[in-house]
Amino acid sequence: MTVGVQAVLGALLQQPDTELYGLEIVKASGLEPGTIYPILQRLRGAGWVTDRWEDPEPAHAEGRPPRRYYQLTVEGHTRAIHALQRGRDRSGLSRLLTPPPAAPAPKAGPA
Amino acid sequence: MRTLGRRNLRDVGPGFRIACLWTVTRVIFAFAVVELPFVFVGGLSTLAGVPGSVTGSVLGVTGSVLGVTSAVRGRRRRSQAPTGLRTVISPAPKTLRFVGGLLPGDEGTAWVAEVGSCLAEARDQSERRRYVRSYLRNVPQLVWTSWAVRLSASRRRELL
Repeated sequence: MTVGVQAVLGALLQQPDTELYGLEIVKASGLEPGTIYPILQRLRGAGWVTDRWEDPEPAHAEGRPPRRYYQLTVEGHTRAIHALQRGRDRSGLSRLLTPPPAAPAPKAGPA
Repeated sequence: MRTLGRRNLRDVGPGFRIACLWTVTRVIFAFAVVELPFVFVGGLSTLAGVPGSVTGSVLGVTGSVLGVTSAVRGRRRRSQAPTGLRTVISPAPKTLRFVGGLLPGDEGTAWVAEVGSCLAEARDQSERRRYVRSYLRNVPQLVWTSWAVRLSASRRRELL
């Protein structure tokens, strides 16, 4: 899994119950806007993410075009958590962050 | 549900190659249609001994006329579009709308609408330009991914 996919999944996992549109994902992930669309397409094709278009009327009332919202599916949410966890394990980040287990205390021998 | 990975791209078979070839052909054809007339006129004028400045002026005027014609045609097309789409189509530059034509099926329309939506919410012109550059830089990856996702989906349907 690439860093870009991890960033997009991380952004979507920040608020799993909220739908995010393109610019929000761009800001949350720190990626360029052109980068996120191929990633979102792959995630959508894999069934991890669903999308929907906003109703045009409220958008027009605010004077802007309708937005396309993305949200993790239930299964996508579970898989994203596992994938990110696996990614962290592979990068060795978790090993660096986790303190090493305490060494067993040496047994006191007979004096 | 399937896993994400390059294995799925290898599984798509000859259909994917044909689609890629078709896309590349369309790009080359579009480039040829835009560029060849200018090369042809330039070459003819050089052979006829017409000074470069005159040829340049003629080509410049032709380009302006073509630009005005396209703008008028685009405005007419936008005015004929349904009310819901009109504001979506307008903010995306022409280059990005051309890119939309390279994507499979209705994917292109949706992408152009989404790009237009993002560009409309850009804070200022510099941010808008930065977004457009970013979209254009990622066009090859976008086209590749779109076709790959579409073809793997159709292949899955065939297998079922």
